[in-house]
Amino acid sequence: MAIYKNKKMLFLFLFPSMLLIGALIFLPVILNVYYSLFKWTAYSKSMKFVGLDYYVKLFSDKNVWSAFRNNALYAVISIIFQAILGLVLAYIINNIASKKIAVVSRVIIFIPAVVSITAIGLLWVIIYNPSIGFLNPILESIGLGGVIKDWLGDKSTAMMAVIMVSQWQYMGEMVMLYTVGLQNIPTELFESAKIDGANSLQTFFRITVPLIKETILMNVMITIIGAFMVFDEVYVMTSGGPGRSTEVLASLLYKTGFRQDNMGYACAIGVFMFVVTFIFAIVELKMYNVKETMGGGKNE
Amino acid sequence: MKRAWIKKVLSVGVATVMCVGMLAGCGSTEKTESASSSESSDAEDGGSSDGQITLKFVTKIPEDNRQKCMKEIIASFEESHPNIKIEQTAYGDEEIKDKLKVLLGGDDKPDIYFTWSGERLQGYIDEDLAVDLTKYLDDDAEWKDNFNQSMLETCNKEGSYYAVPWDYSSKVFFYNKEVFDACGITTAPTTWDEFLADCEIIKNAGYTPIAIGNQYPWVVCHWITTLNQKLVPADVLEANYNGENADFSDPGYAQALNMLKELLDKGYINSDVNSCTYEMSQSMVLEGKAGMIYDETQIMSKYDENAFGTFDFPEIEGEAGEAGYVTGGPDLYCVNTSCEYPDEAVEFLKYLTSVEAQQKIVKDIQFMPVVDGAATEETATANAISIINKNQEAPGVAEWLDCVLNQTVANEYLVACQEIFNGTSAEDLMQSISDVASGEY
Repeated sequence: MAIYKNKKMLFLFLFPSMLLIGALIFLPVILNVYYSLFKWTAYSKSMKFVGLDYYVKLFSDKNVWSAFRNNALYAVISIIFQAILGLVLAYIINNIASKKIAVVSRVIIFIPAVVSITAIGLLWVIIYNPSIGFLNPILESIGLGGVIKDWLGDKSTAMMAVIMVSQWQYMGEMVMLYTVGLQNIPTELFESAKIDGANSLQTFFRITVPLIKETILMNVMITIIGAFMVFDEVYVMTSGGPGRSTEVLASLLYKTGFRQDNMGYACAIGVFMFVVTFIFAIVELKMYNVKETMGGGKNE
Repeated sequence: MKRAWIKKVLSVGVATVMCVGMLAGCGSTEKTESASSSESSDAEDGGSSDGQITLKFVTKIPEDNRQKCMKEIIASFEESHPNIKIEQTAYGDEEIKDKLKVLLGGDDKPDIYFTWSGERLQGYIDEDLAVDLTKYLDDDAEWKDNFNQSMLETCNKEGSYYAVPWDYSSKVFFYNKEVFDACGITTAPTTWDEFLADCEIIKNAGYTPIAIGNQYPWVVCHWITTLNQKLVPADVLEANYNGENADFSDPGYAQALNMLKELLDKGYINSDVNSCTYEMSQSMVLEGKAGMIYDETQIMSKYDENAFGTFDFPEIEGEAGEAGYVTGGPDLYCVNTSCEYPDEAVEFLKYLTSVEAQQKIVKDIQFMPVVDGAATEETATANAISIINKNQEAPGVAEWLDCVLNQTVANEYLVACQEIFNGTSAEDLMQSISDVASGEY
């Protein structure tokens, strides 16, 4: 189409969004790096230049690294449940289950993803509670009374308890994304595989997975980046506690800036989070060959 | 031809709507004309047109009954001062800890705002966000003298007063009379040993002796405030708290944490202490599942006097600190230095701390007053009056630990208040607090 060749029109159409993205995303990131070089609070009238002091502090701060480990744990569990099990679930619903069951299951699995995180967090605080929640009584009734714990109050279980709530909430979204990818695979391939005598497992690994490689990659990256930026679930359910067992980088950043009145250090933590997620994003872009996919789409 | 023309008009129209939509979204950053900021611009040129002054007032009392009381106080002030309008916004206890700082640093600055005492107030003074009220107090000796002086003194930093107290809260044990009767306990404990013995009796009878909801660690922090004050010599405490001495190595500190650990280990506290919310712990006592709770006098109205009794924190044998102190702190109001009408703001503060308004808060919401003559037979129950009088005569106030300490150190102490139940040793926790206190912050 002629419009793609007309550079002036291109620029005109892109300009408003570029302006918005620049002002709302790039500018704050740059300002954040600038502000991390000063000592200031949310309500201070002046800022004191400290240079790279906060970055030096960051690398030796055990709280930052234990938060980083929590984020890494979050990422690993999320990949297993969302990126991998999400695919398996999507495959089962799409290819194995009957149409009716498929439609109903997709809706049920997806519902948590559209409910507000705060509401879900508060709901699970009650569910996990040993006195008034229903999780422990259910475990007892199916004979698992031995594993009962104070899920959110015991530092050995708190982080996993919070992570599992995220998985419950977002698996539905992943199933949806994978379903879109799965439905793009031509059914003839599955039919000919069936004729050739392949069972579900072989079909899954030899046909499905290679064909939705890009979707898998994209979902893994979304999951990892999300795991390093997680804030809401943690803050609503445990606020980083008990002690610091569920502290993640984002909640540490928040408390450093607004409770400890150390905005400069909070900005440095923010820059650290940006660098980590940026590295993952670059890796993804390198692996996800944009040109080939786009080019492929246009010619067919 | 007509179709092409309609198409053109439509596309231009849609494009315009989209651009306007985008600008409306950015509009709130410009202060002049957009609707969202008209309120703040009104307040700023509030005095110009017809002498009408608007003061922005930030409080910490969003609960329904407290809001009703405050609105009535504001209404009667506005009646007697028709040229002043008070715009109140209330935030919750956890929320205001972050929200107020953002408000003070942003464009929508409050004229009169709530704060706790101690380092929280000092932070605002350091940033020149609180007006020096000393001359207003000196000019009105009657107003100044009528205050509970130890509460007023919490507003005194380096010889000048930067806030006035409005009410205060102190800690006291509330106990469920039915539970105590069922366990055969007839008198409230006065010493720590008696307290532990009572806990054992209650536990054996099948109830939870003490309910603690430490999801937000300020709850246990209040216990530590009391224990520290009783176990650590006064001068050592003072030096550690005001930052002179960063070494929290006095054995009293570790002993305080260990006493709480002991309560958990012996089964005297609900086992889900770190995930139980404050509200849940109150319900446990209200419903008769637990026997006692160390709660605030500010929430006294929740515990009906016929069903619940009170007793003070027991004295500990061999305590190195001072006895008889009140654990608590005032709620203060400051006038922002950016306020254009400080005289009118002080007028409002005078009204809030007048005997009339103070009697109202005692009567309507059972708050503790900061002026003499507010707690009378008409306004308060006998129990409340005895608590107020006892507090008046107390030799001193142990202010909330998370307010008195520098905020970075306080944060570390709050973590310790949960970590002690996680199994970390008290000595290790006090060491990390000392480390943070001596580090650069």
